[in-house]
Amino acid sequence: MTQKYYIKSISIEGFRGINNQGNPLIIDFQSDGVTSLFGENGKGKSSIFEAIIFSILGRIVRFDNYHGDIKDKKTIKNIFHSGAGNIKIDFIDGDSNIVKIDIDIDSNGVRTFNTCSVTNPEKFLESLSSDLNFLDYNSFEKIILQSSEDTGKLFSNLVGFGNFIHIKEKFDKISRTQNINTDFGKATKENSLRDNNKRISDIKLEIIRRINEIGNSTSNYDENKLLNDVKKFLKEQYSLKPKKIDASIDFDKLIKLKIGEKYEENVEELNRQQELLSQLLLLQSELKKFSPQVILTLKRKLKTAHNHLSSTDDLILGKLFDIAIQSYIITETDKNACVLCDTKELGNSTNTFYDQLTHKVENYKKFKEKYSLFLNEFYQQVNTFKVLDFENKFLIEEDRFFSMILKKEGFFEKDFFEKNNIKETISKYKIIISTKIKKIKKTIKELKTFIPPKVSDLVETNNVYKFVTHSIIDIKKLIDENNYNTKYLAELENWIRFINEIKEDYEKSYNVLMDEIASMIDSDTKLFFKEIMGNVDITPKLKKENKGQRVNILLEKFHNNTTDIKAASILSESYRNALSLSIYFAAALKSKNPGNFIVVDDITSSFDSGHQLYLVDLIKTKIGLNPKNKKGKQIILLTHDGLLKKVLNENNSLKYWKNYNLNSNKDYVSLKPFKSEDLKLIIQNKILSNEYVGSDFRMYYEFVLLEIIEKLNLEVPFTLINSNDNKMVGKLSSAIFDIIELKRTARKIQRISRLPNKSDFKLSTQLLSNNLSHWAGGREVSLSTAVLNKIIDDIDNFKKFFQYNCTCPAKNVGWVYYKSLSSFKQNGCNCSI
Amino acid sequence: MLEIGEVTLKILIMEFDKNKDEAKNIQILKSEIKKIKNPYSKILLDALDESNSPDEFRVSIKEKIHNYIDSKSQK
Repeated sequence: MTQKYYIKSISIEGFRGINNQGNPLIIDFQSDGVTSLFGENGKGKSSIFEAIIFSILGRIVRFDNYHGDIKDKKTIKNIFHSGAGNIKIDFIDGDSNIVKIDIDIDSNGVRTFNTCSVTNPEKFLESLSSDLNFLDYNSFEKIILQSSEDTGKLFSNLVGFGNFIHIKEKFDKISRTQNINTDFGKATKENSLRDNNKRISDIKLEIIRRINEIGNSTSNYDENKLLNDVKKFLKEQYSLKPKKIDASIDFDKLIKLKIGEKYEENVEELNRQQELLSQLLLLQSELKKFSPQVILTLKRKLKTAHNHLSSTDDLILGKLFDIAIQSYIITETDKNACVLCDTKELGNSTNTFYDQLTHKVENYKKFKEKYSLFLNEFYQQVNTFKVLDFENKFLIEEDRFFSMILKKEGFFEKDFFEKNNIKETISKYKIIISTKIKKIKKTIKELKTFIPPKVSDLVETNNVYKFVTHSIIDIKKLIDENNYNTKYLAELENWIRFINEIKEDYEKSYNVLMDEIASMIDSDTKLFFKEIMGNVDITPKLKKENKGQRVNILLEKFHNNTTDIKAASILSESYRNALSLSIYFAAALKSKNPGNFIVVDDITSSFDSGHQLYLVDLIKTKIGLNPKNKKGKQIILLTHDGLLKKVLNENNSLKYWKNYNLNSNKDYVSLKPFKSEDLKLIIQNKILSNEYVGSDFRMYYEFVLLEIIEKLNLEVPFTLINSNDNKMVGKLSSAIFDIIELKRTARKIQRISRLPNKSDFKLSTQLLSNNLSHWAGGREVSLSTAVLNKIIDDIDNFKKFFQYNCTCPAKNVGWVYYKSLSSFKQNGCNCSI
Repeated sequence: MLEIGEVTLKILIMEFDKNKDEAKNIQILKSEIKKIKNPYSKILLDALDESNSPDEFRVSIKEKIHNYIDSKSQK
């Protein structure tokens, strides 16, 4: 089983907003649970998020989509920090082995590795996780707003089956009919088979026609009989007995020797003219087949190719970037910089330059694919109809239309067929051939008058057998070519069936797997959504389409509506976000990535206080690792939501939860566990410097009350602790009073007299409420420093009802909370109270 | 079993497991392909191992399959 890794700790110096020159910010994470980091705006929270991402992925993910004119990689290293920035990140596996990674960041934002405890830290980090281990507001809102195809891909990636998609894409690529045609020349070979068979049949017919012309009546092509006839002719006329009839028999030489010099010139001319006539007759019959229908098909294919381009610029750009883009490393390179000349800040607000470029290259590739089909067809037709043969033999160079256009560099333009009248050119060629035939026939007739009929007949017969001999050799070559192509195509068919079977089977199996995963994610999504949004009358549904990888995000119930509707279109922003988070968490929990952690930044701010608390509760119970949720993930939660402060502080007391409060000034970011004393100090400083303290008093009192509940383990309902409204002080003090009264009545309290009674509560709350009401309403009231400090003292005096002053030599810790209502003294304390 | 020319292709259903990680499932895929006793399965596995992108895979398959078929067709 693959080892799982958790983030143990991180040390950050000189990175993004964290300068900490010589005094790195060190955070020990709860590797078997949840670590929450609370930081108000500007306290370094996002810098920590990015430090984790940067150390693992080697880049600032959010920069990927930044326009060039707002991105500056020189800001990755803290600009005030001298020397290299540094991040040390430690991972711990399930067997408690620790992997230490030490990274420097230079002023250009480039990551280099110092001595690490693994040989290849880059590979280790790469294998650990993906973008999907990190979630911030920008990335999770996309989950619900993307296409169903991308949702399917996201699911595969989220659950760690991203490579399955790549394999599917590989199989798709090689099994596509068009690619098989291009890669193995399937269509060309099939056409060649068809053309060769046609050619063989034409040659056979021509042989029969010519044999009949010399008076050897025959209606069938019989190769053996023909070879015997040739042998017989050679023996009778030239006393020649060749073992084999092949190309070495020189019929021209033989006839020349036979008839002597007297008729040599005329016979040679007659031969030449007859040969020419024969060729022209063949060309005439071929050219007749170059029909307007064939031209129309070619025209349509060229147009289809050009339809992928919107302008000639697309052709030039696509061609230019087709190769360049292959070496364009998307993760490392500026998406708005030119890959060729490194010009920066290209692209626009909607699309990066890379996206635009990719689109152009994709279109160019489609054009090239279709254009290649057109060109093959064009060549094939020109060759089949022997147009080039005609041009080469009978036309001067400047009149050779087809030879010229095929020699031209570049692509055929979209309006090639409009600009060039092919039909008219072919007609012109036909007229030329017809005229030439007439002329040659006349010449032959005239030549024959100079040669005795016996000689002329012998010349004709000699020519026919020469033609028969050469044609039989041609037919054999064509048959050999056909045999090769037939075997090739049959074997290719085996491959196609093989790969299609594998692909189909893979897709079926992949579908089964993805169906299972989608249904698992669906059930968790439903559960998580209900938990975040409370018991709303809305039920989401993830529906994978039967074929392919598309996953639709729907609502199977929306109040009274029970027909499936698309979630993104109907849900309000907070509901969409809740659904996105539910899907993300449901899928992330199924992830098989070795990096068994999720780092989330600012995912709570789009919710109101109640839903924020539900979300934190969901993370605590069902998403984060804890003794009861062993399949959970290590969670690192960064938030600036003030409303979550107290619940995060509460959770800090859990064994599987660590909470830190971030403090910072211009130079240093530090961590402090959150205590009411910290808030008191902040308020006192504000009072000293005459700063507005606002509702800080109420918050301080609230914290004290919460601290009393926590320290004395008072059984106050959890929902009360987690709720948040302006009457919290009153509600909490009533709850504490009720618990004390209940335990008093049940005689469960040790030394009742030390705890506040009804009048103490009344006095304290009335006194404080009087002052606090000014702040609760947000109204600033002019009060003297002494009065303000008195409010703090009143709160502290109330706190002291639940504390004792420990002065015993054993502990001597000063004012400390009672251990509980039934047992006051802290462990190890010898005070007499 | 499906007879294709000289080769026999076993019709298989790859049983991927949702509880196994991707690497394990890719091993399942490869071992299923390996079980098919014909020359194509080896070519396919080699090409899968050698190539990263679909384009690289296509180039590799094109060369390997063409060479194999060409040598068989020459006979």
